[in-house]
Amino acid sequence: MEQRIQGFKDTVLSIEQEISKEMIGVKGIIRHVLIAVISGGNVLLEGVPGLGKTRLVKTLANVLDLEFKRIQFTPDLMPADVIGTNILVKDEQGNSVFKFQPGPVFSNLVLADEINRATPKTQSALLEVMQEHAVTAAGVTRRVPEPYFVLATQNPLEQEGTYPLPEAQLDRFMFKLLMDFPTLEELGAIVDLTTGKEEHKAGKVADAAMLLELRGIAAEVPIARPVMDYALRLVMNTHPGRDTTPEAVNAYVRYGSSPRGAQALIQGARVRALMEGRFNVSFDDIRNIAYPALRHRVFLSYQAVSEGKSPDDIISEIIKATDE
Amino acid sequence: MDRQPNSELKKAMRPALRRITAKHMLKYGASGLALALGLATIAHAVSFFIPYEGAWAISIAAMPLVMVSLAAGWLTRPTMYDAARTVDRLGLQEKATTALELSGRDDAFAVIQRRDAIDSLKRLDPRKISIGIPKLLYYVIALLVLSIGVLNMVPNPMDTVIERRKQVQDQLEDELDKLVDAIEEKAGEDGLTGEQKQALLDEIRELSEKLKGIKDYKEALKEVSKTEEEVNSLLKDIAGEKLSELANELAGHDITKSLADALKSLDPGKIQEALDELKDVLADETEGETEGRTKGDEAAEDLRDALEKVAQNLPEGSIKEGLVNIVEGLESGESADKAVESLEDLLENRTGTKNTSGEVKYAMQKIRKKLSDEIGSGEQIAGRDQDPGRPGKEGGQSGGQKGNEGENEDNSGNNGGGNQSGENSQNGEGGNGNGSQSGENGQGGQNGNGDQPGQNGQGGQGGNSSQSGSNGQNGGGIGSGSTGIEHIYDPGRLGDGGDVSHVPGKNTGKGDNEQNEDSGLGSLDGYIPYKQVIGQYESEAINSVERRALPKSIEAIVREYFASLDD
Repeated sequence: MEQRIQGFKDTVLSIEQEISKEMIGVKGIIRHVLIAVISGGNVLLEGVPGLGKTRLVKTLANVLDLEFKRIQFTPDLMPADVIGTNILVKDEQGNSVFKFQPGPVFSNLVLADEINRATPKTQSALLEVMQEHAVTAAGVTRRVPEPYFVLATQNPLEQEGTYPLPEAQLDRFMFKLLMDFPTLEELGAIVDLTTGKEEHKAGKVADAAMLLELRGIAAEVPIARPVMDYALRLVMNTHPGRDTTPEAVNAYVRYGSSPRGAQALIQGARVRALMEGRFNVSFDDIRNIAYPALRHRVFLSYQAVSEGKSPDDIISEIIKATDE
Repeated sequence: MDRQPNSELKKAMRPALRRITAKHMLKYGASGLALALGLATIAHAVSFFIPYEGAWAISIAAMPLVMVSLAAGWLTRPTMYDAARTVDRLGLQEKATTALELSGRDDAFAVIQRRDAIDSLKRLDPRKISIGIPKLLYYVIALLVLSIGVLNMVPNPMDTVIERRKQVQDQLEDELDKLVDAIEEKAGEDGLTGEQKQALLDEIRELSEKLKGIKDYKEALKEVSKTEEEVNSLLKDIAGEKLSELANELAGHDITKSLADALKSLDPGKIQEALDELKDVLADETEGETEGRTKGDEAAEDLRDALEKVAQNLPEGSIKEGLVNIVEGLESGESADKAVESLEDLLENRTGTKNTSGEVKYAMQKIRKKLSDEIGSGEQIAGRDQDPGRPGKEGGQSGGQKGNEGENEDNSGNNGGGNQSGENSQNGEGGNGNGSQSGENGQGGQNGNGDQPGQNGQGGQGGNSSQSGSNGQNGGGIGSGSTGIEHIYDPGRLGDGGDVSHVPGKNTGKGDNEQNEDSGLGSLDGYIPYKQVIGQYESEAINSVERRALPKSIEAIVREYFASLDD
């Protein structure tokens, strides 16, 4: 066991390095995606098209040797298109019978591209799978394969004809990651990588079993009482109107994080600690994870939006105002 | 933390814990020092405004605060857990805290984590934990030390006040010591018993205790007056006892029987009648039983014999001495009339305690004067006594107007109006004799006003004797002759119970025009009760505003002000 614990960091680092062969300039994204995958959470990735979201998931699937499916969300996409449906087929005797045709969600890694373009009905079909890791069709519940991971994307620019995810559904994502446009050097590297003759293919480093084992190890990482207390106070301070709430939260936040935010914070911090080669969670881990874990759980007021405040600004204020 | 830390972990934490504890103790010690220095600075600063000598005593007394603070520091010294939190902040990323919390757990994660924490602790240089005094405290201490230094270098104006106060204290103690000695001596002359003497001394010693360290001289004046009243009361009782003793002896002889009865009644009128009757008997020119002798001559002989026997039976003391003198006078051919007059004087003047009484009065007068001078110090007051008149045989000298002396050089009518109309006083207002104590005290009632510049203030007339002319005393004068400013005061605020009382005395033809100062409010040199002048002030102020072309509103303010004083 000790060896496995000690080997966690190396394993994750090798996965990270392998992914980095195909993904340029998104090291932070890769790391947080890995943290979410190991923690068993889902990720909402916000970024303009063409930044390599699909490639990231594909590479991840390759490196982890996991099955991968991609769903392009459109307004006419139906829930059955996502989760699957019963179709009428002839059996061996020639009788017509219903057979469940699994949808693309039946895969280890699912990329829900531009999730905000589908109707809420379809969105909620996916979100149920994300939460329950099971699909119920025609009264029959079918489990999706483990490990199961959904990476949803949304385009922050084109908002016309979209259906923004409601707060309750956003809460199902462990992390919300913001994919920035690469720098000039990174862009050059990306172009070199993808247009050159030489092909850089990421190899398999781990498998599903190993991923599940990593998840088990991460769940045991000890967390000291003051650190846990700090994480909880951070979450509490996202709520306006409390004694300890920072002024910025009272001024700009409508609702704060749900308890899922605290869970995401602790789970993510545990994985990060191991990835950093530590065997305990530190305040730094909490602070690092606070942004992806809380930014989609802090709902800003119109005033905040009008003043150009982002959730990350508010989280920074909360971190500043919360003592260790 | 309730769990006992792993021994290896404990060992690894120890250097850090030691430094953290040292830092903690230094902080507490420095805080205590800052607090003590703060108190010392305040004590020194206050000594510039309030005259007291305790600044250094307070400073030294505050020093144990350092020890108290250190003790408090030790009681709240950092625990292993506190040390863990501290080292974690130095880059251990909560390894130490977590390891401590996992103490007692032996699962794989706990073991690995502990090992990691111990390794990190071993790599940590404990010197990273600074053990210096916090900068703010350092600056505060430096500033306070500097302040104390500066405060001690700057001359303190209150030092002179303290010095003066000490001198007054010494003088008062000296006076009281002298009084104690005098009582010891004079009590013997007056034939006071040991018990009587002790009672007097107790009163004086009690006053001495009360005056020790007293800073409020007005309060001290009150104490002096109170003690004097009590001593007078004691002396009066003693004198009464002695007269009673004399009356008993006189009752045994036919010639003095009626006088004895009158003495027993303690009625001054009856005593006077009995003496007049005795005079008549002695003046009887009709022929007596013995040829060639008048009845008066025989009566004189009987009186001599009677007084001789009475003197023999009385204990040693001034009465006996007085009687012996009378007898000797009669034997040497002195007239019987003169003898009766001597007897009258003997009875009139509390003779049994005259020496002691005089000493007490004299000493109290000096103490009161000293206190009055201190109360009025810094003021420009004229008309001060140089020395209150010494009673008794030393005559009635006073710095002010000399009181009319009685026939005998004793304390009846000898004391001058001590505080009145000093020499060269300008516009001096004579003292207002105030006999405030008991109806028997005489009253210096007449104000003498010297209105012309350069004119010597006229002293107030002494009170007429109130008790059958025997006591022309206790007209306590308050005189003030000031240059330019009149100093007024409110008697009520000195605690004398209210307004000055004026008790009319009876003119005996002997003890009149006497001025004494030993009761009432004493020698508040230069101060006038404000009620005596407020009426005049008011009328002058109203006249003034009426004469001038002032707005009505201003006039109203002046009227309202005086009206409010009446309230």
